[in-house]
Amino acid sequence: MNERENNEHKINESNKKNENFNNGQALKEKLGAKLSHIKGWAVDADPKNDPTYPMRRREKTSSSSWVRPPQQSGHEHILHSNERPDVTRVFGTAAPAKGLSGMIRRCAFKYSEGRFAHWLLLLVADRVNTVEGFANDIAHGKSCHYLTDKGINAQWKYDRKTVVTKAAVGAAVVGLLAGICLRRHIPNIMPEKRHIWGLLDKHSKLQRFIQDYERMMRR
Amino acid sequence: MLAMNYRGPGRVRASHKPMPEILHPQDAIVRVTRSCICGSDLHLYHGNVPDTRVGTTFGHEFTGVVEEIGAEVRNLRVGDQVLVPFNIACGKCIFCQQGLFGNCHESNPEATAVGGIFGYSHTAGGYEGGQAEYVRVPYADVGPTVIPAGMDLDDAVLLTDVVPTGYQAAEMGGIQVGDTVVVFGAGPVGIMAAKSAWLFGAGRVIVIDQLDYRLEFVKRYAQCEAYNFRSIEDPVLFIKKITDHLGADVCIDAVGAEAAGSAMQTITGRKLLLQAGSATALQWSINSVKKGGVVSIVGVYGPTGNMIPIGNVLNKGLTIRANQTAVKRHLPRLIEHVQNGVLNPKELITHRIPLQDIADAYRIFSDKLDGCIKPLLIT
Ligand SMILES: NC(=O)c1ccc[n+]([C@@H]2O[C@H](COP(=O)([O-])OP(=O)(O)OC[C@H]3O[C@@H](n4cnc5c(N)ncnc54)[C@H](O)[C@@H]3O)[C@@H](O)[C@H]2O)c1
Ligand SMILES: [Zn+2]
Ligand SMILES: [Zn+2]
Repeated sequence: MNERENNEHKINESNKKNENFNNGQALKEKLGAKLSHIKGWAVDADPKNDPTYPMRRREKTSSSSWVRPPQQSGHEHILHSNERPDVTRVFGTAAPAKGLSGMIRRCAFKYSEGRFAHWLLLLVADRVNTVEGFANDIAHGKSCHYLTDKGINAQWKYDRKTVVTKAAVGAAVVGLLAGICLRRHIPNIMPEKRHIWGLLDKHSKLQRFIQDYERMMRR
Repeated sequence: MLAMNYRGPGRVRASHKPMPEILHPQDAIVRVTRSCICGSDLHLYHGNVPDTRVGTTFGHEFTGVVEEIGAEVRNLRVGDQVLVPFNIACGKCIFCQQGLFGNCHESNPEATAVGGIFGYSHTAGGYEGGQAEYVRVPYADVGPTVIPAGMDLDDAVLLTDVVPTGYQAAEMGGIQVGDTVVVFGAGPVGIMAAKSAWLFGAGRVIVIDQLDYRLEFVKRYAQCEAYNFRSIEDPVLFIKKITDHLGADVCIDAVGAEAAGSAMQTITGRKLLLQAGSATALQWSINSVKKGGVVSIVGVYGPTGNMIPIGNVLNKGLTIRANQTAVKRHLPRLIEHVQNGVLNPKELITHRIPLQDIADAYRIFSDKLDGCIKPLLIT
């Protein structure tokens, strides 16, 4: 930006503030005539006390007070907030809503931005979309990217402790689950610990699951 | 072309995608020369922004060369070297006309509360981002600014977001000569806010964070005071004590939705997503500012709601100012500051990582590994 444009920019800025002020005066005169029956109307009005500048302009503005740019095509398929009448004149096309997550997203857009349901459904759709993406990766033989996508290489280099801790916790969880599932086959290894399995057996759902699993394994 | 590809929370990769095309007569296609990862991208990366779709490309801080222009583009020529503000703005709506380029009403169909932003989920318009070899730039006559001859591209790329955001944070604080300003967050944005506070005449600038390496950096770079809240039991009380028990004139929240420091906020805001992020820094800002003071928010929060002490805002008579940065509005002044050496943005860049290794770049920046302040991606 050269100096001329720069000055122009500054002048525009200050004009805007004056314009705001002048429009305020005009409006005051117009409304003053209309509201002359209200005693004391606007006697203390102070146009300079405007903490909302530059967000609000005092002259009447509406969504039809600017010439809209031409419409990007394909807008029929774009989800738009129901707080606006139509799709904006340009929009992104990064990832059209599709699949199950797309259905949830379409549902979300039935609610306005002020509703919790709108955002909650979108977050749910995001999680479903992650599973869809993972399934797609597997279909394309890319499931092995899982750890590298998480930046494991950098973490291994600069933060090995976290990687080791996570791996240890992961292994422990898998080990525990395997232990629960296969406990009938290994009771003799640790006979004195049998009461722990007994405790677990009290949870009938888990018990049923384990029995089903064992039956399946025996088949 | 090669582009960053989001796969789900915490997982990204570089993969090949089709070249972007002109979809509107006011579009341009830009070949990216520099791009950065921003603290805002981490909200997407962690899966906290609703409508972040798998397969999309992030990135709203980039410079590049104009490769192709649409039929109605007048101000740009093929071959121009441009820096591209992160906001997508039409330049015509009532908000753009007032210089509020972060609040454009013609760039984001999906939400009315936020304007269009490159590579920032479908909640911000569904645009592909600049962490790629090429990118589609809508309303090319409005945002993109030709990089002045002689300006380092590393400086230019930081003018697309970080520098104007820090500057606007200070501007919105309404800082008067002699004011005491507290900045929460010593990330790139907080660092630039601290530096900018002096430009508006602050008498004292204090920065709060939890990472010693960033605090060391900001102390030297922005010549300010810097304190680690991990070694302070009660940050609000601490600020009161060092500000004559009245509080700071201005507090700036340059942290946003992923703040640490309060278990309650972290669990409800970041783990359970019961609120739109953890509002710890905002809570501290409100509580440590002087009565009648100003809280300026540039840290980003989600669209639902947060737990903040609104009663204290009332009782203390505070003014809260906040916005997405209107990058283009600040560019003339900031370009001048960079050219005159008043601001030195490129010193923030600690890492230069090939786009190919994007997963590692995100991990390093997200986990604050290897002394990272600002990572730059090389295409
Ligand atoms: N308004 C805008 O237009 C705009 C533009 C760019 C970035 N942002 C937002 O600004 C924020 C900062 O961005 P960044 O790139 O500097 O991110 P960053 O992640 O690099 O930095 C955030 C810093 O805050 C620190 N922190 C965490 N909890 C804290 C607390 N309670 N008090 C003080 N410090 C705390 C972290 O240690 C970290 O150093 C993000 O929320 C980002 O989305 C807003
Ligand atoms: Zn950013
Ligand atoms: Zn606009």
